[in-house]
Amino acid sequence: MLLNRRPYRTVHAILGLILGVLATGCVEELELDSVEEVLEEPLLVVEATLTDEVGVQQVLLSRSSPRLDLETDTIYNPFLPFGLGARDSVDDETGAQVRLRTGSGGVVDFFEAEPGKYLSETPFGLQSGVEYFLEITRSNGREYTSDPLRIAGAAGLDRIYAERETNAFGVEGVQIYADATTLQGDAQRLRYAYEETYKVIAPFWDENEFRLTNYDPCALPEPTYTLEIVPREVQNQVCYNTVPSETVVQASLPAGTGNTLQRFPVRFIPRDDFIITHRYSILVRQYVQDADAFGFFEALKRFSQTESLFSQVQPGALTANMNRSDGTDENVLGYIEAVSVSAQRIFFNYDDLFPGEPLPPYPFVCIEHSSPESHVSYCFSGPTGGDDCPQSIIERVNLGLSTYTGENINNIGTCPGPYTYVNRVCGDCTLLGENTVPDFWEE
Amino acid sequence: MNRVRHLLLLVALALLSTSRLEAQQAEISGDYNQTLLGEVVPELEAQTGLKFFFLPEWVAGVEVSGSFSNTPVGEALNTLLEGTPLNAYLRLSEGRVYLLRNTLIYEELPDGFFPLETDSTPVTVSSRPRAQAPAPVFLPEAVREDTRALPIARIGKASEGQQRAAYLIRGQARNNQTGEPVADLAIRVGGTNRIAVTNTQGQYQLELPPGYHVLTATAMGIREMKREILLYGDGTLDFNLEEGVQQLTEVVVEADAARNVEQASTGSEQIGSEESKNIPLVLGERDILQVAKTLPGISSAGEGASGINVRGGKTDQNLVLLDDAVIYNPTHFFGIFQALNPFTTERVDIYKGAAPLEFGGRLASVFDIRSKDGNTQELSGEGSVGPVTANLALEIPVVKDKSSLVVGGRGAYADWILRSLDDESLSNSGASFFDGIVRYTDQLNENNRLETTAYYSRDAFSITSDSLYRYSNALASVRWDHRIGEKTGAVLFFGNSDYRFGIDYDGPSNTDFRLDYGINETQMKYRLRTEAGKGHTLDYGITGKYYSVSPGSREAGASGTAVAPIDIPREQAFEGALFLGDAFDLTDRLRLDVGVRLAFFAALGPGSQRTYAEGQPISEGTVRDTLNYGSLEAIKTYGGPEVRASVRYLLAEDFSVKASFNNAYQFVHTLSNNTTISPIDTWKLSDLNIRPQTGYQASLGFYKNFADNAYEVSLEGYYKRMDDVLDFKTGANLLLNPHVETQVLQGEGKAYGVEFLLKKEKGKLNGWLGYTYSRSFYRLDSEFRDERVNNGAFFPSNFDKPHDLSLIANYRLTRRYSFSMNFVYQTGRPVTYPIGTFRFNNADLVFYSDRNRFRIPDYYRLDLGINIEGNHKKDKLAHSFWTISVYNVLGRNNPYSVFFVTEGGEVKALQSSIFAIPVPSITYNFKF
Repeated sequence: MLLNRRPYRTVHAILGLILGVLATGCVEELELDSVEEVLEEPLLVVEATLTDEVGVQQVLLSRSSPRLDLETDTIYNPFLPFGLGARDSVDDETGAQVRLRTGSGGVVDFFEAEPGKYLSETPFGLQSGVEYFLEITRSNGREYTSDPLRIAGAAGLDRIYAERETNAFGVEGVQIYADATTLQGDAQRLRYAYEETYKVIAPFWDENEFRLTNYDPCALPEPTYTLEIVPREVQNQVCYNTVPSETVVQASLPAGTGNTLQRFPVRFIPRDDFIITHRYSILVRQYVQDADAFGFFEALKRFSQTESLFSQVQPGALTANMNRSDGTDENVLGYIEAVSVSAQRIFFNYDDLFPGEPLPPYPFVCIEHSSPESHVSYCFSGPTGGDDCPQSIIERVNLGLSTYTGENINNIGTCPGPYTYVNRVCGDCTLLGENTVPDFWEE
Repeated sequence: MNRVRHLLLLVALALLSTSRLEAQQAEISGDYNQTLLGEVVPELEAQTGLKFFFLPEWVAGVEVSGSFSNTPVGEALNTLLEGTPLNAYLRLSEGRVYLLRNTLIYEELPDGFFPLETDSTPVTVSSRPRAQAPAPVFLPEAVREDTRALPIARIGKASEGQQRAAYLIRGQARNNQTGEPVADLAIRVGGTNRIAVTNTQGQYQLELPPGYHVLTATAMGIREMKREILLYGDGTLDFNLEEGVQQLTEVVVEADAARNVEQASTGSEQIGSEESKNIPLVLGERDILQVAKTLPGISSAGEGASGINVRGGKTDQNLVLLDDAVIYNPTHFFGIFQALNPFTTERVDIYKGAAPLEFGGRLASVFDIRSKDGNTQELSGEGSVGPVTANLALEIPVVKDKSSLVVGGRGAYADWILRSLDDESLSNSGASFFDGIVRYTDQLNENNRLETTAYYSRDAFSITSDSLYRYSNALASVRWDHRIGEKTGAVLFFGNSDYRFGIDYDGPSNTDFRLDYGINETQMKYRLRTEAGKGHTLDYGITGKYYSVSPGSREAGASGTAVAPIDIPREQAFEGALFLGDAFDLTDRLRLDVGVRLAFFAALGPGSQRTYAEGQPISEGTVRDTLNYGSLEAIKTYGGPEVRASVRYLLAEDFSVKASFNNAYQFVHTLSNNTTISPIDTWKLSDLNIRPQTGYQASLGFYKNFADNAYEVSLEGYYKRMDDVLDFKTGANLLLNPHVETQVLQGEGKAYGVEFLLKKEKGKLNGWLGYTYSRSFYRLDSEFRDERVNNGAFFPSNFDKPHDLSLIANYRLTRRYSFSMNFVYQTGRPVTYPIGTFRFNNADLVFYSDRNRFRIPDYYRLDLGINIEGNHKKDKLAHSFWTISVYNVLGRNNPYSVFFVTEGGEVKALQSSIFAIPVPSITYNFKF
């Protein structure tokens, strides 16, 4: 999350000190209702990184949300059925028409491939020296035009490499470095984005699984069900997860061509991060930005890095390089950049950098549990009580919370049942990734 | 005093019937050297056989000198009485000599003494031409009937052959208790526009026509004194003034009675430390700066915020001087307490508009804080014990009547409160501060005076056990007041001021570091004031300042290797000014005070400065070149004339209208991107890429005093523009940034307002009511997106609080008990709220409204206090009084700041308050 998750912790501390000394202050929550009424309607959010690489180009359109509730489904909660947690709150902007126009009259149209995701109808790459305008017509008829977009210059991504290192905060881990050279034009402002893919192996995977059928928790006198232990039909022991970068990494070089950037730190992974437990790959993209884009991302970054003791930073509005075509005053969020790109992918295993050393811990608590197979009928109306046992196996299986690990030979648990199980995230890697090998993957 | 009147009449009547003859036979021989006249007279009587008549009180203490050898008695007496207020009238034929104070004996009645018949012939009795004798001086009939506490002062003596339209009175004002000279005493002449003000040595001079006058002397902390005089000729009149005993327990902001209406400048205020002592403030700490914030036009961003905003100016636009030397951070503990010792502080003069010419370098205001001069008579002291600090100040005479030492020290013991709390997160935190001042004043002689001040304050606080934050002020100053001839006074001043802060981080990992910042300035000033005649007062002089800034260094701590050391090279600069001004009365009603100040600034090498591509935003990406400068080479110079003009027109004796205009340059800036000021804000000198701030202000006001100056009302409006005011890009990183210009925006500001002030300074109930309506806006516009704020439109500043009301009242119940209250209401200050979230770059982000679009809730607060004086028995070792106060009686939960946290995936707006409940406190004060 780039969001200011904890920027005010230290402010708290100071306030705490003041409050403490005087023993009279307080911090209380303000109602934000009044704030929500400010925007009559959500703002358009536009995001596009158009590159000189020939391919299908992408424009993302969404709307801002007045909710300041930012919970996302990327946070796994083992006590909630998968898929039932709070969802992403992104409102996609659908039904828009998106075009990229050149100064000389050429047009590339985009189509909506998924809600809010617009792809170019034909693969193309931006050319240097050409001025482009992105135009959007929303389903409500409003038209928007971007500021002129131009590729500033080109730079080569010479090398991406990973080294074992201790960072400035004394944390040991893997530092991913980039070396670059400016090639042409005004290539002194670089932004790095990356996509990391890592292998996940479920630590409590078992070749068998529960299968629950004919389940009626309301049947009387007892719930009816059929619980079987059957061999798995889906591969969910080894998965691959791909995560795009969400932070802003920027570098600048002296002006002119032939200048080199060396050992620029792009990404640091602490050695106890489970993403490097087995095999890890990173695709680093290097974009050459113009001054305006560089400034925008720089500001965006500062917004998310306010965690210093006294910086109760003055916030403000950051708006996109896009405006209403008819000149109406309307803020658009996000940014559209035109960049030249170069990319490189590397792989490494944990063993390559930390040979023979203990693996990072699995990020979820994985302990085998047991509980009674069945439970009191949900429709039982007589006296209940005296039963402090954990949720039964059939309820857990029904909710998709647990996976099978074996028979309860050692009679574990406060109310031992016939089988042992773990939280599903410990025995089913599909909660954390895809169970198919990505095309680019190399072992 | 009727006796005097009778006597005069008797003498006059007795003599009217006689004529004056000169006797040649009586002669005197003898040497007298400062012999008491009382002793000389019997000798003369013995020598001449003449009988002397006089009132014993007239000759008491009068010393005479002269050397005679068979000198005629008339001549001898003239010699002897020269320099005394006595005249001799000889009736040698009767063998009598009359000694008369001040007056001459008139052998004829003046014209018009009796109404003349139109056709009657004037009666000429005298053998002497009438023109030789000055017109006699009489008390007006109404005055003769008065009873008075002090005798009429008879000044000078009428002398034959001397007849001038005006005579010169000079003298010195002294504090009766301490013997210190009283400076800035306003001596007004009743019924006229005339006023004289004492200089730092308490001296004044005043030209008046002969006759009866009433002089009124007023000054801070001094009981107003009325003195009737009968002026016969040049002479002296010293004032021995009582301290304002009655005012001790009153809340008085005294821009003295005359000043308000009569001075030409607008927007100036004066607060006496002593007089403000009863205003209930938090934790019983006396705080002259907090009191200042209750005056119209002076505010801060929030309760406890250390910065002061004057008339819409930023916090760095105030020149805060302690005994003429700059003090960069006059507060302790995030601005909650002042860093000035209230017992050694005499007063603060605040100039919100056109400041005196000797001050410069800041756009918004001057806070001229003066320390007390020590008691030159006897050892005295003051002390207090409060919940947070203990304070002791001593005044030690060094040479009696001449020199004195003031020593003050103050320390906080907040730690015990911290430790007594049960909060684990605070178990390792601590806070302490202290300040100390030593001041030496020496009245070398009548024409020379020396003042020196040394001051040091230090704050240290730690929130966690691994980090220590500290900041300190140090200053030293020497001032020499010197009179050059009769008309000109000069002040030579040297001062050095130092401000530094640092962070020591000593954590568990190998990232320990030590961060330091410092600014040091050395100033020289030579200021002259000449009474140029015809009512012109010229002010002129030269001042120069040398700045040395260590913008920041970070070095690895003892165990650290993982910290890259940073050392931003030292910066230095010279700032200077020449100034010349004249204050004069164009007519009886119209007074002008005009001046010009030529300000100059040079950023000096060694150093390197970047140049940036034209037509592009200044950022790391647009660096074109780096220029290097040699030692003391001028990197860039700035400067220009500053005009300060004020005009006052008296609509009536107690009603005036004033207008003023001034412009200013400011060459140093605070780097702060916080919504409130913080101790780790750094000061930056103007350089190649950062221009000085400039501004101008025009103001117009009406000033009226009612009921014998008991009530003062003023209404003042101002309009102000500022240019190149520093602001910062969103989220700017300023600390340890060697290229601050990439983070800086320079924009314009405007502010306007109307200030209303009603003061009552006398009586059992006194205090003031201030109301300000004011707005302040800034604009940051550029052709580049990230150098623009709010689309380049004007937006309200962080301290734009349109309505600001303060009521301070003090009620004296008896001599020992008095009550005081303080009520404040202010519009809530503007803030920037997040108004939603959006997804970008794979992350959820909050987006904010335009800057300062919202306001936090309104602020109001009521404080109450009771002062109980100890009894006033003379032989008591120390006089003491207790102050019991309750701050925020209403328990209003006033927001200090509003900020946003994300907890459990939800963004919350939190409001923090510093003093959300009533805060009681008891302070014990003693004085000896």
